[in-house]
Amino acid sequence: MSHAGGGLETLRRSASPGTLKRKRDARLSPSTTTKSIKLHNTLSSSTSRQPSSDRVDANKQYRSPDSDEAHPSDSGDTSRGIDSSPPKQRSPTYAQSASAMATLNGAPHASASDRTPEPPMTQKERPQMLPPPGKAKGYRVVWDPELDGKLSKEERKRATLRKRDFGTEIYEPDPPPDPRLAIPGYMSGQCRAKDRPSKAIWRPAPYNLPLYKIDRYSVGPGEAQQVMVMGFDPFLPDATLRLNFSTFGSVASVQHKTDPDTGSFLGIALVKFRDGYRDGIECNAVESAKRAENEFNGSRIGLHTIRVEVDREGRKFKRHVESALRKARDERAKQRKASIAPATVSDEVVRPTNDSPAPPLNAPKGPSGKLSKPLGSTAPAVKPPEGPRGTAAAPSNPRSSSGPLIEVDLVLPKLKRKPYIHIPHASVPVLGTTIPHLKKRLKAYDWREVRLDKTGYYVIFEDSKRGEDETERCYNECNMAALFTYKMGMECQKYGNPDYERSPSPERVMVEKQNREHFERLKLEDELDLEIEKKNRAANLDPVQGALEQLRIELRERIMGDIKTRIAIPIFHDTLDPAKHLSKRRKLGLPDPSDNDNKGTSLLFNKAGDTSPHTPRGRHGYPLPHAKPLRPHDPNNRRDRRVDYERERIPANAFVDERRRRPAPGPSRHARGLHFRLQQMFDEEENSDDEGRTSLTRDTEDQESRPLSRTSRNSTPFDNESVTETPKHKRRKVTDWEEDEKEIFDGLQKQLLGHLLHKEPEDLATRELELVVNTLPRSSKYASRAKTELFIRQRSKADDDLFNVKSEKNDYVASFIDDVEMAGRDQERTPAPGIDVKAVREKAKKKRKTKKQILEEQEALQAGAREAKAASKPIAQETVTQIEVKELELEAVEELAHADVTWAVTHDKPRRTVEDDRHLVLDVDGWQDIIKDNEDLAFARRALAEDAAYDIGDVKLWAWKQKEIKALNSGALGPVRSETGIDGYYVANSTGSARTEGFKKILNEEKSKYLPHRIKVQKAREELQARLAANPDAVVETVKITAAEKMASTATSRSNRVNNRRLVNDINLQKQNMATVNSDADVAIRFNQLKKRRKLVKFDRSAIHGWGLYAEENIAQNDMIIEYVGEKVRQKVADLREVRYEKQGVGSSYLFRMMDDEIVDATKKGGIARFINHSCNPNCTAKIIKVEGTPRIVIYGLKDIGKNDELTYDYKFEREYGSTDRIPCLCGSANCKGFLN
Amino acid sequence: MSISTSPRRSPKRKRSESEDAHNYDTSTEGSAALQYAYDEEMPSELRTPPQEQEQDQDSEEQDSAAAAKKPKLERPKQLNYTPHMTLRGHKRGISAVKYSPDGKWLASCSADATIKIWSARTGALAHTLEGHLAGISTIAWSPDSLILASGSDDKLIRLWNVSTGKPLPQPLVGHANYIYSLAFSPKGNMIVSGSYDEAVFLWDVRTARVMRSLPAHSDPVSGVDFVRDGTLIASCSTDGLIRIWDTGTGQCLKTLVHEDNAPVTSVRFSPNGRYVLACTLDSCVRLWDYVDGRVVKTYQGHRNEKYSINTAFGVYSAIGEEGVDMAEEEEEGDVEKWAFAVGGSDDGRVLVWDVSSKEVLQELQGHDGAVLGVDISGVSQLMATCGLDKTIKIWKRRPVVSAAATNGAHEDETEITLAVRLPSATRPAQEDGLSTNATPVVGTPVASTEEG
Repeated sequence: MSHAGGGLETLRRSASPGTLKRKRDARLSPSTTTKSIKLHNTLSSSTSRQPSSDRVDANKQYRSPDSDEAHPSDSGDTSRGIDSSPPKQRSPTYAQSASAMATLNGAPHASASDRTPEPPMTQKERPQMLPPPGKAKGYRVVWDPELDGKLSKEERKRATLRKRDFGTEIYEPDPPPDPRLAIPGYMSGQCRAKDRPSKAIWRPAPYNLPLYKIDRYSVGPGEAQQVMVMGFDPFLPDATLRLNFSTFGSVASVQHKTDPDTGSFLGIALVKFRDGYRDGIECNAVESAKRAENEFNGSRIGLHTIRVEVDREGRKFKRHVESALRKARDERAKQRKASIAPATVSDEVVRPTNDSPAPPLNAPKGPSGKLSKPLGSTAPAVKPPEGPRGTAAAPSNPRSSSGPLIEVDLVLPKLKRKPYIHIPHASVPVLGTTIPHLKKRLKAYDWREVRLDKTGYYVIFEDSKRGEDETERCYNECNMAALFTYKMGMECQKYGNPDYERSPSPERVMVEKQNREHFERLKLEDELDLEIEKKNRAANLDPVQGALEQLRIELRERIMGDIKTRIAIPIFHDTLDPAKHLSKRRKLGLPDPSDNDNKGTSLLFNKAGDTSPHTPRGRHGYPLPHAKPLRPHDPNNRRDRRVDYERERIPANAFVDERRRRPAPGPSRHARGLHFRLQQMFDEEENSDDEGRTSLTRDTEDQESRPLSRTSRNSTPFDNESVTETPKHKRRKVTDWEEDEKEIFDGLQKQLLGHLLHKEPEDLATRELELVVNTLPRSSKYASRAKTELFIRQRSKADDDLFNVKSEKNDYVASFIDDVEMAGRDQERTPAPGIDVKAVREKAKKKRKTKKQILEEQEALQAGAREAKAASKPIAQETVTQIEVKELELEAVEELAHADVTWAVTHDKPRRTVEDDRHLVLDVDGWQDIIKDNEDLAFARRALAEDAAYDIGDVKLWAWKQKEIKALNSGALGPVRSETGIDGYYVANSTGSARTEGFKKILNEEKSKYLPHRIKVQKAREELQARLAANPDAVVETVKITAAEKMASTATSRSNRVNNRRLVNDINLQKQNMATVNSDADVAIRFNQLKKRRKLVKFDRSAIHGWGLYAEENIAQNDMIIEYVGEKVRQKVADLREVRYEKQGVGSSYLFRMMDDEIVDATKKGGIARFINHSCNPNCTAKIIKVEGTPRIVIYGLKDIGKNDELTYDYKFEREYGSTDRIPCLCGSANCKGFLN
Repeated sequence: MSISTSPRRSPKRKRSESEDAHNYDTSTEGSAALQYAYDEEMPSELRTPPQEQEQDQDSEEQDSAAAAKKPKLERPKQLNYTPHMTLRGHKRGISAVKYSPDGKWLASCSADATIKIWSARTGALAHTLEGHLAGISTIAWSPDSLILASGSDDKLIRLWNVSTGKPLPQPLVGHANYIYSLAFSPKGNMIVSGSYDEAVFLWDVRTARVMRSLPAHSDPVSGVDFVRDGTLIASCSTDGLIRIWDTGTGQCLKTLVHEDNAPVTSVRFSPNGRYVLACTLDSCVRLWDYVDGRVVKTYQGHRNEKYSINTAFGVYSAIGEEGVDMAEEEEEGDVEKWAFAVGGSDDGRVLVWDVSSKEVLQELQGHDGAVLGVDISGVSQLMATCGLDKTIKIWKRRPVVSAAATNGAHEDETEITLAVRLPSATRPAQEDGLSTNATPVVGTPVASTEEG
């Protein structure tokens, strides 16, 4: 009590008068405070401070402002409230809270942190709408003395209010009952009134929409036609399986999966059904699959209960197979570990990195080498599951102990895309026991998992939009919230691990995985082989034998070297002397290599570069430090062009199993000397043509510059064939870079490769090889596949291959020259052989040279393109100007050069430093874009050397003007990819402009190309004809439809009625007037009656010819439209006039023969009916009728004519087949006869 | 394919026809859209200088009255235009040459897709306008001499700011084939263009859009022109028709066809707007009274069978015996002037006809190929001609040395009055524009030494 009073004292002292009102809060607080203190007693005392002061704050907010009176009694109340035994240690709390209040009074938002050493974020906490549960929300006055009439005035004054707090009830977690449940019959759905429909039906579960029925309109894969079967005895023959399932339908295929490593069956099969007849009954594949699932699932084959599941796309199957495989591998790995662990230790280590266990010695090794796969590839694969398994176990048993709860591995990398909240260990210490508390704390949020590692806690949410939202919500509401005494400083990652790289698409992932697996398998095989060799050697280690072996090897190498240096090289020198090939070169128009000499020599190390664009992906990315480790250096075996493979071979290693393939020599860049790698940076633009001889030169180089070592001499797996297959490589490269030249090389390539490959021994993969030859590697995929095949074959071949320099080199040279002949068109080719041998060491220079060659080629191409362009351009002079000036221009723009060129060392495949855009239009911008440096410029100059420079004055000004003109007309600055030209129809005038061209008669067909109205009609006509050709019925139909529409349009409307009325009146009138019976009274009547109401027509330009007449209203069939009026002349006059008109150039004939000798000439004097054009499918007809004795020409509607339709009738000219001056018909109707006469 | 409104020549109908035309005029006068044409407040610079004050219907009487008052000088029978300058620079044939209305500039367009702006006085090249993708057939000056419109084979009409030499960014796009002829309206707000696609387009300059498309002809539209008040458009085509259109409504008011139906290659309103001068490929230049639809005069002597040549109108006055410069003389006051017409010829000559008497006043020789363009400077005695020989020649009128000329035979006795009196507004321009007796002009690409 005294403490409480002390608290009040403090309050009074420190508070300003206005704040004294708050005493009641102080009075009210005790009960609640005690409660909260009690609550917090479970925690440490230090943690209890802050909440309690918070509480006080909260209370303060809810105090009522009117309680100024009766301090003493209030305090009394307070004391009464607290005296239930306030513990002593609580007094500082009170003091604190009071002082906190005091400070808060002064500055409501000032922090209390000067007293409580809390992180500043606490202050950021959002003010809460409602007091925390368990606090009094207010009080209710139960008795007010002022209102009690029984009391006297004094008593009233003395008496105090009696009030009762509310809101202190203990928090009820139970949700209020669903009010709908009160509705009678709600649960049963009987609640709704019968008379009116209502949606108020109790739905215990969300709607389950029936799946879409797959019918003939559905798109997509359709229903499952296959079932996945598992659980049967793996040794069950396929036939039995098939038999079993053929009871449900006709089985298309049974795919019983085997373990690719061991070849054992997995006991998982995919049975595919097909539509077909079984026992004469048609049975559907889908039905069959369904039935199989329904009837066969859970039944037995033999002793095994099988599982049959419909598997639409084989995914389940795949999944099961994968899991089975994984399991099998794990098992095997375990076994292996157990069995061969001691053996591996004793190995002398050539490759210290290798600690993967070898297979048992007796492990089967097929020629494919596949069996060795599980060994290493699984080893890394096995590891990761262990981690997740451990972690997966952790949350399942959280209360076991804190130790396992803290995951050893970092959680973050495993999260992938799942949204999560990270609570770093800095804000909440890492304690396994905290997890349940955290879970409880966050129970309001829909988290999935709470994981913990040494960096902190990970609250993981569902991987969905909802989960993300939830994450965000959790973050917003709980960030910096209290967890015990800690502040949960959160880090929200609602899109999962920010560092996690999403796999772009499952397909790619799959492909990558396959590639990786494939590669890993190969690698493993190599390692395996090595292992075995080692073991063998260890087993049969005989020092004498070993020394002999070593001696033999060295001896052979020496001999090889001697052969090479003393015999081979001189011969090569001899044969490849450029002087010898002078005539041939001349014949092929190739430049003398001597001028190339100083530029550089062939590349010596370009193996990898050659092949890399086509090697299987990932191959180069993996360094194989021990590729071909135990083989002696055999430099010549890659020289064996057209080797006779049946020749006796010298086994490279006595221990090598000859049946086995050579281990795959990996790309050995990393094993190479530094100078190689350094030089590689020049390697980017190396050319294909170097491969053949560079392999040679490199070998010699190798021998001389490097000590023989056991590390690889082969830069790529393809070395051996690089000579043999030079043309192929070359060709590939060219196709890769020069798509335009594909066809050219196609034939050549086939020719070359075909006969080369013919000589190849078909020890393996013959078909693939043929495939390689026949299907040219257009796409990189094909190329890589082909490469892989070649690689495999190469590997198998490696053991068999033997080199024989003496017998081969002449052949080789000869064939080389042959090749030169064949590939004679290629510029770079011929000079190369000479250079190579000569300038073995000038590698750097060589690089430059090749680059130049490429450039040269490019320039040549460009020149060709430009020439083509020039040829197409009629204004030759202009083009010449352009070409010449470009050269000058280049000089002017040299400074531009190096901007885009980046120099860097590449490791994988040679890349071009600059990508030339081949579609660039080579105007000034284009040239400036394509010519990057002085070297380019030099080649451009050379390419343009033949053209004489054109004087254009100030080059820069000229260039600027050209650019301006281009920009003005194309709307774009900079290089463009399409020629800026004149849109649409354009025929250049030979003199330059229309006016300087002078007058010439333009033919009609010429006009049809540019006159808009003609183009329009022509298009329509072509469309119609196309449609007619495609589907004659459809056209008829559409014609009918349009006709019907027109009918409707004429038939409807009020005007129709009016017309009818008028018509009837007119006819009646006529009939009355014309009592005299005429022969064609009916027509006459029609004529006369309609003479009054000729149709509204107008003339306008026509697509058919010149002018045309158009209906301005809907015209019904048989209605008179207009009379053809003109001068009536005799035949003779008409003939004269016709001649005259023709001479005058009146383009149209307006002469209409009425009678034999009566012709109506409407040319000079006539009505507009003369404008009506001819059509082979007319909508009008001209009739000659006699009216009052004189013949008249009247045009009638032949069918219903819509508004704005052009009126046409058949001129019915006499046919003049074979005549020279037939008048072409342009009517555009589907049945056009082509000519008027 | 002629329209039915061919000229009728019956004398009975003639009267009423002309009345009709007159009625038309008054009716358009009332229409608000065309009001400006008759607006007195029209700024004088908007008027093209060669367009003189239109004379009244009864100008002939007035004229004769005035002539009676003044001491009547005899009409010179000869003109003496002498070569003044030769401008070279174009790489291909030059299709048109035009003096700017203020007389300061001379623009020429060529088949080499460039336009060159020359100083009219000195002959110095001021700008070369490049931007067209194909040869240019026609150019037209805006009345304020600031904008030049050009029509090219690339189907675009481009507008050029002459002071900067840059094209306005938005070309007039719409024709389906080569642009063949162009004319600016006297107010500068419209352009009429004729094209190989047989259409005549009326463009709003401000928006660069087609305002009206006139279904004109059945062959390339070789010439278009605005009448001096902008209410009428004349167009001609190689189909042999000349059509007069109402600018406001787009109606064809008149179609002029000659019996022979020879292709018409150029058409031009007379400065007073009462006649059109048309060239046809039968080697005739005809002056049509378009109201009556009849040929008033036919000028011959040149050869024109292939090229679309241009014509121009000019005035000349009598010269004192001493050979005083005419410009000075003219300043003195109301000197009587006569109109002449100029046209090129396929054979490289340029002919100057007296409008009324049809006699050939002078025959200028100097071009090698056909002369395609001629223009008379409105404010000075200069004439520019251009042709297929890639040169522009400036001719200057000098006093006639020997007056030995005979009158040509008159086709009919009608005195043709085109416009004689210069409006007073243009006088000062003439004064400061050119003092023709200034220093001899040099500094041009090639100072001419050739003889006419």
